Order: sequence, then C-alpha cells, then structure tokens
Amino acid sequence: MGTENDMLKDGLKRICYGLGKNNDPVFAVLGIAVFKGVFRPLFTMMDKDENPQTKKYAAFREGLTEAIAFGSYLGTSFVAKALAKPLCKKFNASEELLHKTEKSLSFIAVCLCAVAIIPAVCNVTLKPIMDSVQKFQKTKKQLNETQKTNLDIKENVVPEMNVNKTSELSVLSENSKKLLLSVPKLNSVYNADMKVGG
Amino acid sequence: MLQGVFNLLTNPKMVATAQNTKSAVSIETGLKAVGRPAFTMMDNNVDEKTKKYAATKEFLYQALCLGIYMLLIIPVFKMKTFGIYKKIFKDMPDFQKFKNAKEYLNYFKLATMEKRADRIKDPIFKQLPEHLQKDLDKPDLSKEELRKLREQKKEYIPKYIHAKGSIEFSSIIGSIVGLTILAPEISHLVLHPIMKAIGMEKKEPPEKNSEHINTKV
Repeated sequence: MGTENDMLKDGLKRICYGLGKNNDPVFAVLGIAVFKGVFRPLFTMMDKDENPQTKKYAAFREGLTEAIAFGSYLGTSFVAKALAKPLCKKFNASEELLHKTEKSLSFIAVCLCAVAIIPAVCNVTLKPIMDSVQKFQKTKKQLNETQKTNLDIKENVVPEMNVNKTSELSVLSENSKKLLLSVPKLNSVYNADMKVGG
Repeated sequence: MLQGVFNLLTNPKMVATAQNTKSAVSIETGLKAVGRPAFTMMDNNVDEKTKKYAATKEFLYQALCLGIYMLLIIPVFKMKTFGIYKKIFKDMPDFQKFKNAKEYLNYFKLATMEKRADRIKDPIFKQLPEHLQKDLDKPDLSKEELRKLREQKKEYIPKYIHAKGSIEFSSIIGSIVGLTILAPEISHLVLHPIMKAIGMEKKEPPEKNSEHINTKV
C-alpha cells in the first residue's frame, strides 16, 4: 500500500511538473472532446422521454460531432506547431522563444477550430454521413421485414388435428365417428387468407 | 508584418494566456458561442425558422456553459484543490511556501516579469508575504548572464513550477468534468424556460387524447 501511494504521488508530481513547464491549451480541449464523445451519447441514450430511434440518431450524431472536434483540434495544433520552427528560424529566435511561439500558435489553432473549423466541417460532413447511416438502417430494416414475412408464411400452419382424441370423439354419434375417421389427416400447409368453413 | 506576428506570438501576456487552462477554455467556449450559431445560420439544408431556433439555442447553451464554468467550476476546481496538493506534498517548498492558489498565482504573475522595477511597482507585490517578496526582489541581470543561466537550466526568479502544474491539472480536470457533465445538465434546466420566455420554444402538437369522448351513446 505504501509503495502504491508513493507511485501515485510520484506520478502526480510528474504530471504537475510536466503541466507547469509545458501546458498546452490543446490538452484541455482534447480531454473535453473525448469525455463529451462518451458521456453525451450516454446521457442521450438514458433519456426515457424519447423514442429509441430518435435517441440512437441523436447519440450517434453527438458522438460523431465530438470525433470531428477531436480530429480538428489535434490536426490544427500539429500544423500550427509545425509553423513555429520556420518562423523562429527566420528571426534567429532562441529555444525559449520557439517554445513560446509553439504555445501561442497552438492557442490560436484551438480558437480557430472552435469558431470556424469544427462548425464548418460538421456542416459539410455530418449530413451526408447521417443520411448514409439512415439509408443503411432502412435497407437493413427492409431486409429483416422481408425475411420475417417469408418465415410467417411457412410457420402459419393449422395445428394437426388429432382425430383419435377420445375426449372429442366421445360426444359424437357412431356414424359421425366413422365419417371423421375416413377423412385424411389435416396437416397440409395452406394460405392464411383461405377461410375454413366460410 | 511577419515581425509583428512574431512579436505578438512571443508576447508574455499571449504566452501566459495560451498556457493558462482557464483562459484558453473560456475564450474557446466564448468563440463557440459565436461560431456555431453563425454556421448554423449559413446552413442551406434547413428552413429559416429551424435555423433561428437552433442558432439561438446553441448560443444560449454555450453562454450558459461559459457562465457556469467561470462562476462555479473554476472557483471549486482551480482554487479549492490547492489545499489537497499541500497535504499530499508536505515536503515540497513549491506548495508549502504559499497559503493558497490565489497567493501563488499573484506571485507567478510577478515572477514572469523581466524587470525588477515592474515587479516592485505592481500593487500585488506589497500583498505578498516577506519570504516571497525576497524571491522577487532581485536585481536585473544582463542578457549574457540570463543566457548562461538558461543554458544551465537554472531559474533566476523561481517560478515553483509544480504549483503551477497542479493548478493547471485541477483546471483541466474541472474543465472536463464541468463542461461534460455539470454545465450541460444545469444548462438544460435553465435553457428551456429562457427559450420559452423569448418565444422560441417549439410548440408541442395537440395531444390526441384531449378529444372529447361522447359518453352518451
């Protein structure tokens, strides 16, 4: 237990040192995107007031939005930091200034993502993706329904009449019993639309 | 122009804002409150009324999240957790030298100033205890001396980096918990009454069961 506590303490110390020296605005926004991508769909699916289809659609859309956000933040931060080196080289900047430039550019990238890149990418990509998913779901549903209809036809069988049941025969007259026993067993499949005795 | 851009990017205030989780997340949320509704209004796949409804809702949601973040989440996670770190790291001067997070942040603000005159002149300097004033009240070094210190990876004015990191870590945790769970739940409670008050709440379709049932058959 003591060793575990020391390990946790050491780990926390490293995190504090790392963030104190090298905090980046992208850490927080990436963390928010990941947790939102998990919890928002989860809360949506837990909503009892909405029908399941709507819930699934909304949850999927929310997850997709946060996935787009995650990719956008990561991608733009990477590009922004790559711009820092040539910029600093042009002004013969020190290592410390390069570090500062990277942080500033990363912050600008996060802001650009929030205000323009993520909403624009969502506008362009969400609708086609959601339409494709809905189309796929519809096709799957139609296929399932067709299969179910085929099965229903095969299974819609009149239960086999057991003409040898004594409890049913006991109320009939001798002539009626003979007539019944002469009829072949009724175990054939027939269409549900056909009315028996109608 | 490029020189101007470079000066902006290396400006100490810009760097401090970039490396401060609270500032970064607040500004990002504020920009979302502007950007998302703007793009919603530009969407040609939806009718005008729906666009206005969605844009208004999005703006209010982000604004509420920002308000909750600034007023509730930051005071709790950023400020109150410093005491926990003091208890965990009893042997570290980074935490023991400071009474609370506010005192540390005031010290850090002065510690990042290059000139002694700027540090002493600031009103915050007099609010700090003597042992911290001693750390800040050092004569200015020449560029050459500063460069040598940087090469040796030594700090002239100690910044007590672990304390800074602990505050940032708490801010990140607070941002995640707050903006993922707390703010959305609170916003939804408040959002619908506000939307209703400004006349933008969607009207519910009339219930089918409300038809008058003729019992005199």
